[in-house]
Amino acid sequence: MIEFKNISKSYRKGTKAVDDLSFTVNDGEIFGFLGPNGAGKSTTIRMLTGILGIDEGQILLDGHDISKDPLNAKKTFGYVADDPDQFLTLKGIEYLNFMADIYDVKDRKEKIETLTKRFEIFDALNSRIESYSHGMRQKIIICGCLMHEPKNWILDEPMTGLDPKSSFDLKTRMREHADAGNCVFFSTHVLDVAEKICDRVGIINKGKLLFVGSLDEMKETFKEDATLEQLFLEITGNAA
Amino acid sequence: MLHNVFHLTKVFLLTAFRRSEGRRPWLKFLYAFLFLYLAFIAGFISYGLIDTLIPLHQEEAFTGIVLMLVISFTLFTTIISCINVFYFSKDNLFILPLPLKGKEVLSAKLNVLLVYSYTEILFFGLIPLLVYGVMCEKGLMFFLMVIPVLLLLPVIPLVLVSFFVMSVMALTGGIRNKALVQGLSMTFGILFSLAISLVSSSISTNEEVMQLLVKVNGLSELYQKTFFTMPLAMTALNKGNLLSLLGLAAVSALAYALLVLYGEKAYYRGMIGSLYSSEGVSSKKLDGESAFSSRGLAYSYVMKELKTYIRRPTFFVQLVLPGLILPAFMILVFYVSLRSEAGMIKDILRQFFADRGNDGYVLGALVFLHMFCSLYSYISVVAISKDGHDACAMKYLPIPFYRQLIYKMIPDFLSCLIGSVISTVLLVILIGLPLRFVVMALPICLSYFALHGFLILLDAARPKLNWSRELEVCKNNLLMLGSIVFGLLGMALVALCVFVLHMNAILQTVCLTLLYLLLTAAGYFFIKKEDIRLAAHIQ
Repeated sequence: MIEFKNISKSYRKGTKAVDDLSFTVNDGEIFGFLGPNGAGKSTTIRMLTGILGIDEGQILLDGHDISKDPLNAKKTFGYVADDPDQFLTLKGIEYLNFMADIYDVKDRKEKIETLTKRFEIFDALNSRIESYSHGMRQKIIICGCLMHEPKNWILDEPMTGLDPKSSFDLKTRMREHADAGNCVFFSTHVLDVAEKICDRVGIINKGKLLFVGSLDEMKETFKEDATLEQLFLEITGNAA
Repeated sequence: MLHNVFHLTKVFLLTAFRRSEGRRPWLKFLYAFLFLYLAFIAGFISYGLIDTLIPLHQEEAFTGIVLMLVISFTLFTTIISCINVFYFSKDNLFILPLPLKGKEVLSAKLNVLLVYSYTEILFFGLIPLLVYGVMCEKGLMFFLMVIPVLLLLPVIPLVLVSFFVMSVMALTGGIRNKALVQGLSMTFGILFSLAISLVSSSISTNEEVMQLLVKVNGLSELYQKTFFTMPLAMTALNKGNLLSLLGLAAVSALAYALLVLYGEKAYYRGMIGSLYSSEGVSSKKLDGESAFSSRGLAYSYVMKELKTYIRRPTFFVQLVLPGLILPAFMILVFYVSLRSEAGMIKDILRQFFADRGNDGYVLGALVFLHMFCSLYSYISVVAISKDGHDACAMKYLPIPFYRQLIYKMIPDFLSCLIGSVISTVLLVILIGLPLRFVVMALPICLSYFALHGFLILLDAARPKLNWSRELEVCKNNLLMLGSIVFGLLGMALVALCVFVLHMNAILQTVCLTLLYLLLTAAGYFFIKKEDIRLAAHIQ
């Protein structure tokens, strides 16, 4: 479970990138975090993962405060950053072994084989990540993140660059993971994906949380027969 | 076409030099000082050589030597920039899809390379010739000719280098082996500079200077036969011959045009490939069970760090290689410069080791040398910045930040240690340094190298993560001065122990080792205590 309690963050005095954000991502659900460019999504995710400090408020991951108990909080999640150009000088297998060492994964051979075969990058494991295509880099980062079977998945734009099969696989795994009582928190610009797989969504704009709830609740509140795209545009004030 | 070439050249140059924008005034002052210093050195050496040639009435040979140097340096030093500008420049990705003619892009890139070579020619071409003009009281025509000659002379060598590079890249598909090509070219560049230093260090007497000048003059004559633009440039300079200058301009323009025509095919054949995945995904199978083996977190983390330094040619050449080979190289240079008296010096040193070994001078000198060697170890001052955006992983991985800092210090320690071991072995072989001094220096050096790793705190305080070129972080980075200042402080402390406190060898070993161990322990407790505050700088 991920709990955001009155989170605020300012980069410059007087301008809040994230302003008093409060919501909970429950176990057993896929939560989509939506918002236009510059809305504060990345800042929120960076605070959630401990990359950015929090000015005000508290973020709890399975009860562990990311600011006060960072190590235990970090052990509860797997994070896929929006930029897959990471650890480029390492070979795929070296990266996965490195992640397995960090998270002390016991049956690493089996997990590496299962994950990489599922994402169809097993044959490329002996090559450096810098030689991978954008999609392959995204896949190897996802494999590294999922290998230790974290309870909470935090995925920043995870579908970007993935081919249809891998995208489908990842969505299936997200569903399976949530159905097993775990929590999936992901940001996306692809509203179709959010509409199809999210149990609940949060919409943020200009640092403020505008809506949290299921698609049905959103329709009840705004328009009965609108799509998520139409609702999103209306909520964020971008409707024509 | 000229319009496009002009604008492209401008864009390429602005991109290359944009880092200089927004620099602080004191930095500009530092660069101005460096410029004046180099200009002074160039002028001073030129003065010495011309002064040697004037009594022999051979001063005109100096112009030949300078022009030969201009050609040689353009030939050898542009190989690296040529490969980078033509093939590994990031702007290729943006330029290729634009509706520009091949010859326009190629001409603009050639212009950029010419501008690069002009910045070098300023020091070993323009300044020496100006000094020559003043010392030999040359007329106005000489000074008027200097600029156009120096602008035109590098064209032919640059065309030759470009032709060579384009042909090799087109035939071998070198773009697919970026790391190998860059690594080889940079190592070649370093070896070339080291070879020049080694040759120059072997000259100490006037006779040796004269012998070298005769050799160089002979080489210059050979160049005149090979590079037919050189006699034209010499005639234009020495005799003020306008026709020769026009001839030089015509030949250079023709060569430039021919290269552009040739390059239209060869350049694009070498460049177009998979620019994103230039290395190509290997189909090599994993090595059975061992591919999945674990040797622990610390080993895994340190290996990740070492692989980053070794597999990125720029990091390897700029951060690892200097620490490994420069100390040994300096010892060799010193030895070569004294080779004629080597036997005598060895005898004197042997006697000195026996008589004064215990009073601390020999140990002090040895420790001093190792600290001097560590000046060239820049790994810890860029250990975080070199990761760029990857450094954010330090924040979300569930490992305490201070432990990650320690893992990042280990390559620095190893670099200092290996450089030191190589130097020690050379000293034992070349001057017969007794092993007891090595043993006494060992604890001091080990504790000092451990402390040296804490220079990572400079990087942790102000990490430079938003870089687009590796050189921005491992060359154009003022934090690297931190290693030099730290080394100088260490050397001053050794000098204090030896010359002011008159410590004997054993006392030095005990005091310095204890001091560095205490400081290392203090550093450890500091990073452990300030773990979260230090990590806050990485975002």
